[in-house]
Parts: sequence; structure tokens; C-alpha cells
Amino acid sequence: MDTKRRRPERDRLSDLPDDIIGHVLSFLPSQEAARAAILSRRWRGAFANVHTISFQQAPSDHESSDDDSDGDDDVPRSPNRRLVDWINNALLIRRRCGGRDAQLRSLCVEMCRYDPRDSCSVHDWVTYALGHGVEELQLELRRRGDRSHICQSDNSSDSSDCESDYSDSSSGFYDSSESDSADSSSVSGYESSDDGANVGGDRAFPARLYACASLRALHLSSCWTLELPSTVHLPSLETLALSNISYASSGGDIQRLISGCPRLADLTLEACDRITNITMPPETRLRSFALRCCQRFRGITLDLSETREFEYRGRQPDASQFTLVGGAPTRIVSAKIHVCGRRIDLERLREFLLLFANAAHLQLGWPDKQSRSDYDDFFAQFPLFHNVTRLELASRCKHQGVVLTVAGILQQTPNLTVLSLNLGDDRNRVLLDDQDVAVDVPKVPVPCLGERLREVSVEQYEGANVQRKLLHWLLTGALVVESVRVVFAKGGYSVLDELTTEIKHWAANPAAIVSFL
Amino acid sequence: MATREAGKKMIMLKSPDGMEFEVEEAVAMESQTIRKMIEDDCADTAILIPNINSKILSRVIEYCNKHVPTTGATGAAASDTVAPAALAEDLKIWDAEFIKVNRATRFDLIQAASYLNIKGLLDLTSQTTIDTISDNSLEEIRSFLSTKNDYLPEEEQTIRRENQWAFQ
Repeated sequence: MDTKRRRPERDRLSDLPDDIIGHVLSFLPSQEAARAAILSRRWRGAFANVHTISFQQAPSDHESSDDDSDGDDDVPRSPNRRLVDWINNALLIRRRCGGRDAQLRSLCVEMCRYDPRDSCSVHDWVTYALGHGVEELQLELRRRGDRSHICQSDNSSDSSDCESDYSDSSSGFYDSSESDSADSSSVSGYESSDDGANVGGDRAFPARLYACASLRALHLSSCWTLELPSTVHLPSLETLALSNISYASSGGDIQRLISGCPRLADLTLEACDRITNITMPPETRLRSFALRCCQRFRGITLDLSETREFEYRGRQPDASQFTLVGGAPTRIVSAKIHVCGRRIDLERLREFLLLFANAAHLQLGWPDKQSRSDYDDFFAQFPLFHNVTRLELASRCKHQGVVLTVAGILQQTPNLTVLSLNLGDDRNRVLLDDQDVAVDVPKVPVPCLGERLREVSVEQYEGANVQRKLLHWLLTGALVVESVRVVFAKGGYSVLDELTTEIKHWAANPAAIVSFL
Repeated sequence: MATREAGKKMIMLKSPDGMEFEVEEAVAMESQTIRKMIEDDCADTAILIPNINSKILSRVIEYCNKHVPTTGATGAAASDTVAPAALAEDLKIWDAEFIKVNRATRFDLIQAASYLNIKGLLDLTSQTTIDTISDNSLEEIRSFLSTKNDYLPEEEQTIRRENQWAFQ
């Protein structure tokens, strides 16, 4: 590095004030940050000023083997004891090294094998954080075997996950009617728990969590119950994300929690099965709103007039479920809509999409289960998205009408510059047996394709006949495209070379950079 | 440097080596320290920024210029028409280029960001520092920081014992 200089450079990082050293170390995983103590005397107490403590447990972290070796221990210990020890130690160091007054800005604990025996520790951590000016609290307490209700939230996801979840659970779900029985076993994802009967509502967060003045962001994904005190007041809270909230917490609790956050700007509700109807406080103007996989969702009253990001993931969305106060959602620049379910009322979907007519970034995912003619009609009359510059489509695109589908959408996004297609991870892949299928190609040119489209990316490309036709149509028409990226689906391809060669050939713009992953 | 534009209030920033930088008030107020000075009316003529030389100060201003929320001619935020994701991505690429500096400059930037209280810049410089030292052995980090292990052997044993959890 500084090889030209003889004189060793002074260690200037060590000269920084304690709080800045703490800030720098906060970017390390907490365990590594704690190791800094060994560097030199200067660094011995550095961890006390680390303001972010974050521990994630990988699902593969198996500690069960050392459980067994612990024969002399009468009380069986939690399988998470290593993680629990880490966090206890991290907080202990803060106490010992004079961090008594140092703010703990952020505490993030992700346990994917939460055990009821950990509840005291978790309770202590939260209490400690609340006593040290915590601004961001992220607690993910999932039990072993809990299955996330949602498909991955990024665009690489595949709507089939959701669909299977829904179809698995829907029968039991609706049969159980609307009774508020705490019989959580009827909900898919909870039934595989083997932790005994008291799990679910075994612990509640400390009441002062709901009156913490410093808290700005709260992410809860937890089997703990929201046991709200009589008053909920989170005056600084701007970000609230609730995910997989215990079935023992009622929709009314969630409503009360939301109502107690006057400054709420970003709200995410994910896989909260108790949510049916939500009314946002009238003064709340959300910056972003995401509703994912809340299976019983019926409706929400909210003000979307200032909202810039909107996400919906779940069954049949319907504009009538969203009672808008404060006018049309004209400022939404990013809309992510993923629809699942066996049958979709496409007319209602179209109406719903009209809410996002001003979006610049549109992400759309839909299942591939309906009759082709329904879809052909729908995509032939796709709503106009004049401002859309980035478009992400996620669907399996296996039927013959796929080129018409994509063309129908692109016809209505005249200013599109970036297109990405996720063709979906088909687990029951029946490979390439569609060679003879005739694929319809649109007869009229698509303006954005020839004039504006600069980037194309395709994920989960299998080289099936319809996919090849789609890519061929896109690339031969995209006259000004600068970059093409193709990510192949997993699996061995004997014809990989041929597939890449033909894709390179298709690119109408010889200057385009074509890359493969 | 920044040119005077109609309707935009300008602020003069002075570095200790005598250079003056005229910047839009909104840009200067990316620094919470300067924001406070302006709000407390301590900034009628020019603000002297102690301890930050002109080379570093100009980089800091460059950063603030890029990160200030821009407003277009219509008064509507320019980001209204750009997807937040695209905007964030663009900034990220810009940041990555911006922080390609040598170690000495990066430490100067950390100090400047800390004094001027510019959260984004402090986070960027801290993260970059961490990226360069993590995954290295203790000895490598010591040598990178040119710091000497000044513990006695038995002291080091104690520290290791106390922090045993961190070395598992």
C-alpha cells in the first residue's frame, strides 16, 4: 500500500474519538467487533461504544450435538445457548466497559430456532435496549419448523410458493371460520412446532416497548404475543414492520399498535393472519406501504397521497379493499404487485393496477394457472403506464401466448428503458418438451422496444421453446439495447453453448454487451 | 464550485488554509453541524470549518452536492419521477467511486464527517474502512492500523478469556 514511504504511517484510526471508533466497529458483525479488544490497550473498551448489536442465526447452525454432550446438566438447555451467550456477553461488555450511558442505537436479533427457554434472555435484551435509547429494534423469533408464510420478497421469487402455501392452508383456514380460537395448529406453518403446548403466547414483550420515546424503527417477526398495555404511544416511530405475528395476537392489537404511532411513515404487514381490516390514523401519510401474504386481509383505510412505494403480495387484489382518504395515490413511483391464487378476476386486477398509473418502477408477478384466452384479453388491454422506465415481470411464461403477453405490456410502457424478466423457478420442471408448439408473435411493432429499451435481463432461463421465442422476439426488436444479461436456471444443460450462441446472434444491436450467468 | 442561482441562498465555507467555497445553503445543511449554526443564526457571513483542509472540504462538498435532495425547476422534487430504487442504485455507484481514495484521505474524511455530522458520509467511510480490514487476521489488522500489541502476555490471556465468546 504505502510502500514508497519508509516511515510507518501513524495509526490514525486509533486516534479517532471513542464514539467514532464505536461507529466504525458498528459496521462489523458484533462478534468481530468485540475481537477488536485484543488489538491493543487503546481498543480494549472500544466495544462499549458500538451502537449496533446484531446477531443472526443461520438456519444451518446446529448446536444440538453439543446439547447431548452436556450430560451433567440437569436442566436441559436451550439449543440456542451459544447465540444467547453471545448476546448476553455483548451486553455484559457494554456494561463493564463503561457503556452504561452509551446509547445502544440498534439491536437486531434473528433466531430461527427460538426456544421458550430463551424467553427470559430475550426479555432482558429488549429491556436493556429500551433503557439505552434504542432507535431500531429488530426481533425475529421464529421457532424451528416455522415456515415463512411468504415467498421471497425480492423479484427473483416465484408466485408458485405463495400459491402452494395458500392451497395447502386454505381449506383448513376457512373451515375454521372466523372464530378467534387460539388453536394455532389449524394454520399452516405452526403445526410442525414440537415445542409443547404453551408455545405461541408464552411470552410477551415488556410493556414499555409500546411507550418507548426513542424508538424509530420496529421490526417484529415473532411467536411472542403483542400484549399491549392500555396506552400505546410510540411518538418517534417511523418504520413498523410486522411479520408472522403470533396467532395469539388479535387483529385489534395490531390496529391499536398502528394507531399509537403518529409519525408512522413506512409500514409493512407480512403474513399476519389476524389482520382483516385496518384503519390508519387520519393524520398518517405513509411514505411506503407493503402488504404481503396477509391471508385474511379484507380492507384498509389509508392515505396514499404522499406514498412513494407500494407493495402488494397475495391473493386477488381489489381496488375496493383500499379506501383512500386524501385523494388519489398519484405520487407512487414504485409499485410491486404479486398476485397468486388459482383463479384471478383479471378485470378487478386491471382496476387495481390503475391506482399506480404514475409509477416509474413497476414490478408485476402473476400465476400461470388460468386459461390462455383470459390472459390474452387482459394483456391486450393492459393499462397505460406512461412513466414506467423500469419494469420487472415475474411469471413462469410457459404458454404459447407469452410473447403476446409481454408485447401487450410493453405496448403500454412507452418510456421503458430497463426490462427484467423472471421466468420463475419451476420445481416440477418438465424440460423442453414444447419444441413443436407454435408461439404467436405480435404483428405490430412495440415502440419502446425499438427506441428506448437499454437493458434487458432474463432470470431462470431454461431455453424452453416459448422462452427462446420470447427472447428472440425481444432481442431482434431491441435496436438500441446496450446490455443483455441472461441467468440460466439451475440444472445441467447439454446445449448451453448453443443457447448462448443463439442469444448472441439474436441481439439486433451489435454493440450490445451480452453476458451470461 | 457552485454558481449562484436565482432564488437559492448561498453560504460561504472557509477552510483553515484560506480557501473559500460558496455552496447552496441546502447543500451545506447536509451537515448537521452547519445546519445548527445556520439555524442558530451564527452564520451570517462565512463559516470557518476548523481542522478540515481545503482538499478534504472540497470532497465533502462534492459528497453533499450529490446527496442533497434535488429540486427541479417546477419545485417538485426531481426524485418524484425516478424510482427510489433506481435513485438509490445510482447513488450507490457514485459513492463507490467517490470513496476510492487512499487510506489517509479516508481517515480525513471520517474525521470531517464526524465533525460536520454528515451521517451518510460517516457511514460510507466507516463501512469502507471495515470492508478493508475485516476477514484479516488480528496481526494483519494490527499491521494495517500500525498498532502495536501493547498487552503483556498475561494481560492478553485475560482479555481473551473475558472476550472468549468473541473468539469462538
